Amino acid sequence: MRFVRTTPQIKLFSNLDTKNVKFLNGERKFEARGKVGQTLLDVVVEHDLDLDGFGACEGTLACCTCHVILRKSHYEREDKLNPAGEEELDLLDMAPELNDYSRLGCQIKITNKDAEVIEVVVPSITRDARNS
Amino acid sequence: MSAIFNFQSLISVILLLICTCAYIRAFAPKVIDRNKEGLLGVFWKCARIGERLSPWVAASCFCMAFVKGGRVNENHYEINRQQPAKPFTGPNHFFITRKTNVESQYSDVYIHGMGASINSVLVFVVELEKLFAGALISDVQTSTIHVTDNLFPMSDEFEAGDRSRPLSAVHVHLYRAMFCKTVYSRIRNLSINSFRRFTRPRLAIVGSGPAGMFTCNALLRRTNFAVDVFENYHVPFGLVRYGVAPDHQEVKNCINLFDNMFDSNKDRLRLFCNVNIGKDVTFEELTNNYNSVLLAYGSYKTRSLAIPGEKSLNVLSGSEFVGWYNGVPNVANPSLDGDSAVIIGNGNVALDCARIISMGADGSLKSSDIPDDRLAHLQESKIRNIKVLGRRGPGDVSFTIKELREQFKLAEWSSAVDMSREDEETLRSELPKFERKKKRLTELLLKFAGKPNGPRQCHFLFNRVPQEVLSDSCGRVKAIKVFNKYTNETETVPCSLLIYSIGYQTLILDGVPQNAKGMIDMKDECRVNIQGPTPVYATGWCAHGPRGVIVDTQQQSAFVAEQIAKDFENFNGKTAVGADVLLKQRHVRSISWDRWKFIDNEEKLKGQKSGKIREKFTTFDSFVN
Repeated sequence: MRFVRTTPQIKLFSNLDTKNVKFLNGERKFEARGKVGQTLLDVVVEHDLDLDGFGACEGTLACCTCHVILRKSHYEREDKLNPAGEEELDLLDMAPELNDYSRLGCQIKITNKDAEVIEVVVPSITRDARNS
Repeated sequence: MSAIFNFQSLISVILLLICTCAYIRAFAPKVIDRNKEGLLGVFWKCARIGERLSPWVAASCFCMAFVKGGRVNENHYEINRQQPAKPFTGPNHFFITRKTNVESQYSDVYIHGMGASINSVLVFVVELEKLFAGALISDVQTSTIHVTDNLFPMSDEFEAGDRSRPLSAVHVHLYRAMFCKTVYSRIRNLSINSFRRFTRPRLAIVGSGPAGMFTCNALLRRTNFAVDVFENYHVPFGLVRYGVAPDHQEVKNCINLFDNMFDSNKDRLRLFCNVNIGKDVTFEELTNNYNSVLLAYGSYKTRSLAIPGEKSLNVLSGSEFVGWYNGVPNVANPSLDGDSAVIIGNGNVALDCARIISMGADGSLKSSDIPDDRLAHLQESKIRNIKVLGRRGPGDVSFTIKELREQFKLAEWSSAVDMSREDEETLRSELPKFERKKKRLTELLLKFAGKPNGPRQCHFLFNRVPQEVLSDSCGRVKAIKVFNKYTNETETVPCSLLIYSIGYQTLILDGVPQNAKGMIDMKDECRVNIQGPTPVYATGWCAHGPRGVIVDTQQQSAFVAEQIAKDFENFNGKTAVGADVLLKQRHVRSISWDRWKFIDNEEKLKGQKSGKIREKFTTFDSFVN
């Protein structure tokens, strides 16, 4: 039996250290509350969001299934404080629909400096473009 | 001689002697006559007894047959009955004796009993069936087993010994009936969805590798499908188990996701390992017994070199070598006793092979999941010189940067890329034009351009077209002749091990349509161009060729699952019966999910003892039931 936690735990005054994270996956949208210090992958796992195969290697920097595209301002802030290492860049090279603002979700931590609603795009193929 | 100390045996020896002597005298009277003395005189006496008292001798022989008769008189012995070896083992197997108390939490259970317990087993099964009111299905099979008893004589007259005797045994497989589970859930939860379970489509997935499992996961999350997964090997997960390099254990974490999927969908997801589609069940039977079929069996036929001498000893394909170090059953050890190895191919399989050979000697793979015997063989490798040959130029490699960087980072090896000055200059000038992925990879190649030096070398060579494999007098490879496109000359590269990894061919199952390129004939991205009422889909490498890493497979899987879900949105047909009945009828010894978890556990326990992640088994005979 799979338990899906649908309602985020809301405590008084706890809004200060939680942020809303919005995952845009093709036509689908997922929203969940994440605590400061959690990575985007943690948020997906904790709320069991229906993003297929997201984080297949469980955040051990061995795959790029948690590839996310950040908003420009968010990316630039992350790039200053927590730039992508060589390993992450190597993995991102393999990610489909790579973008200038691409990062791995397991490396992006929610911080106090983030906006109240963090929006990230999770790329997905809506039409298989590869020729067979 | 010991037979003479036993009274019964002594008499039978004397009787036999009498009969033999009488017989010989009838044929050759001169050998045994009354004038002989000593031992031959005794024989003459025996012969005479045989002739004169023949009715009595015959009667005695007859009596002996009844007295002894191969049977043991149980009153004369203390009998210690040995427990026979259990023909099957596993946490969900129960052996009923007169004292057994059965408690179980498994979804299918095997109950075994022998001899006098057969009755209790059958009564127990009938009681269970009554208790569960049809929710249990039992499959009863019988067999004969041999048991051994130790005999301890109670008086000096008798010999201590063993007695072996055949005994009837009964094996009952109890499992939950699917239908009843749906009835229960309907009562528990009266929602539209549970009504729809009666008409849910049943899908067969061929192959339990990443493509099949990711699609299965995405499909189960989206729909009410019931899914049966078929796997050719004894164990699931395809290339995740048998392809991912042992130093990339983290990549295998996706197995946890599959574990979760099987655990939380026990009522509609089944696994059948050790089932060969095409042999045990044909593709046509699959389409007849399922509402839909998904092909996800990868592409496991290696493209051959197609040059003279390719059949020489110690020439093997990259996937054979990868399979060898990953513990695929029934793969012979390659000889690693030579000094140099040549690997043909510029893909990740070539890099994996080079890296594992390089890492084999330094002990860094000790805690990985390479089977012990194969790891020992790898550690004894004498290879000091690896050449990776590419048929095209340095701009055309299909390495991924992570694996290439790992090769360059190996501490004890000096790795370098051989390229001509012109190549280097062209690449440098074109560098800004490349997209990010190619740019970073080319930068890495350029950074390590040069010649390797040191005791252990790995050299990447380009523009070398293999022409002929040269072998020594024993038929073992000693060198490869290549055409150097830089100099337009033929070179001979000595090697004692030759691995080629120049791509794969898709194997097409009988009954699946094939197009002109030798691939599965596809209608669009995921639908197979096939006539008939059962839609067939294909995903992963068997549909598009062996391209991409796990992320590509995962994204494609989500897409395919979405398409299947869309096609079956308004499904109101009947749930197909599935192929499990066929498998049972044909006595296919398939391995279920619970059985695999048992194997999985045993492997992990065995690995723990020697500080490894797991010790992969390479034979599964004891686990097949």
